Amino acid sequence: MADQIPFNEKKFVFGGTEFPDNPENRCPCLLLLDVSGSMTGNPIDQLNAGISTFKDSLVADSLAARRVEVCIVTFGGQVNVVQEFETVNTFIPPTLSAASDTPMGAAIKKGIEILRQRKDTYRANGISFYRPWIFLITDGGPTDNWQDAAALVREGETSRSFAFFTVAVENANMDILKQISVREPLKLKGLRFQDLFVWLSTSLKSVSNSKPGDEVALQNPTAPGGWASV
Amino acid sequence: MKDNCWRYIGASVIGTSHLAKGGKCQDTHAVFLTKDSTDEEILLIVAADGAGSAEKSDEGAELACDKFISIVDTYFKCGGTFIQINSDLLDTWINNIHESMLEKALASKRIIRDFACTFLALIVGEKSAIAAQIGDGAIVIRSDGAYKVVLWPQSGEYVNITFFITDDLFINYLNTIPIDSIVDEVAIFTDGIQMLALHNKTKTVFEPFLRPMFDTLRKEPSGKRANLIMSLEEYLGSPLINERTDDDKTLILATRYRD
Repeated sequence: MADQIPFNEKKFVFGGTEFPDNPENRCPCLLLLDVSGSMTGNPIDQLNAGISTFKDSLVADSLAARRVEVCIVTFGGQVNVVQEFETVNTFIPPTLSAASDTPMGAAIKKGIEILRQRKDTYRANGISFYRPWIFLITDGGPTDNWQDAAALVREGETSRSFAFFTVAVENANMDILKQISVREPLKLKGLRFQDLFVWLSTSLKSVSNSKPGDEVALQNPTAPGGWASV
Repeated sequence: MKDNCWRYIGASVIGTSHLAKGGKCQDTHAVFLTKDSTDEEILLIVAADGAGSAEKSDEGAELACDKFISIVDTYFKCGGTFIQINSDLLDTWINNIHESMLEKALASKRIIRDFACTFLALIVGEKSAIAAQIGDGAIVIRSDGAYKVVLWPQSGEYVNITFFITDDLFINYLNTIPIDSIVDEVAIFTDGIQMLALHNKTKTVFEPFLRPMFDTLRKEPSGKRANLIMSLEEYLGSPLINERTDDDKTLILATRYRD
């Protein structure tokens, strides 16, 4: 055929040359971490190691590294925003230390507010995003007012503003955690923070690589060999 | 010789993530040049993106596209005219497509969700056009010398949520837009191309992506430009594009503009 274009010679005869600098979709993950006195010693060390594993595991997936954003709010004596939302490729895991009481209610409220602001920033910048995940990890129970926080969690779950997961370590107050979290709290087996964070990073990789219409199948953490029990 | 007829090209290319899993391309499209009963020249374009999680979504996408072309073509052959096509008629046609997908699901002892796909369609007449959409993907036109996004990708609040023609409530998501001006160029693409052809923040067409392709197409003789398809497919499957999207991608371009 005379008008056939030999594709070896004239590559992309029919190609565009430039792309818009659209930002990557974001997959926000908020960690609400208990750093109260009871976490002192091995628990806090294991938690710190877990967060490092989380980063390493996500950075190994180039798409997840650019899409998953992590934010860390701790509660122990006071509520601290240790890490503002940042993509994992530039995130530097903090070294947390433990002390004092457990203002969990205030931390949940603070976290949900930060998340709301983050979504506004995404929208203002035309950034598409996945449903945010909030992970509450505690070995105790709130020492402050938690009822308002529980109402915000219920509201957020109902409106699908976020998915709220609770991980209970050792002697956590399951009665109150069940009232805060719409989803059944998961009990961490021993101090398997590493396994928990490997699971979390794997799950976030699946979500951040998903496309419209994909059903993201997560591994069941309570399966035999998993890090949790219900 | 004056040649102000449509020149068009389209390609659906498998994404790297489907390729890696040994899957099939779940995108499909069709372009059809015809005339209505008053001899008005009509360009029909349809594209569908099968859902990754639906087993038979490639078949669903194909059925939706075939059915659309055959419904509209039959309408013209039975004396229908382009100017009578309105949003109500499109609603009816798309409902017919949904029902034929339901029938296919029943016949193959499956559920309609197994055939889930998005739906984009455009009917262009001589002086106006009408567009329809369920789900993501977009329709861009050139009219009065400017490119406009007539249908921006639909998605839920979250990026991995969209709508399908197979949804029970598909009629709630169906967007139809009449275009009351002369359309001389169109680009239709599925979500694999969205990030490349649209600028999200400003919600505008990213012209540097589309324009070089239109420039090439404008210089071609009228009709389907089969000679360029290999080049378009190669481009859509190239590392340049795959670095930015791992999804299936469909791009259809048509022009009747003469410099």
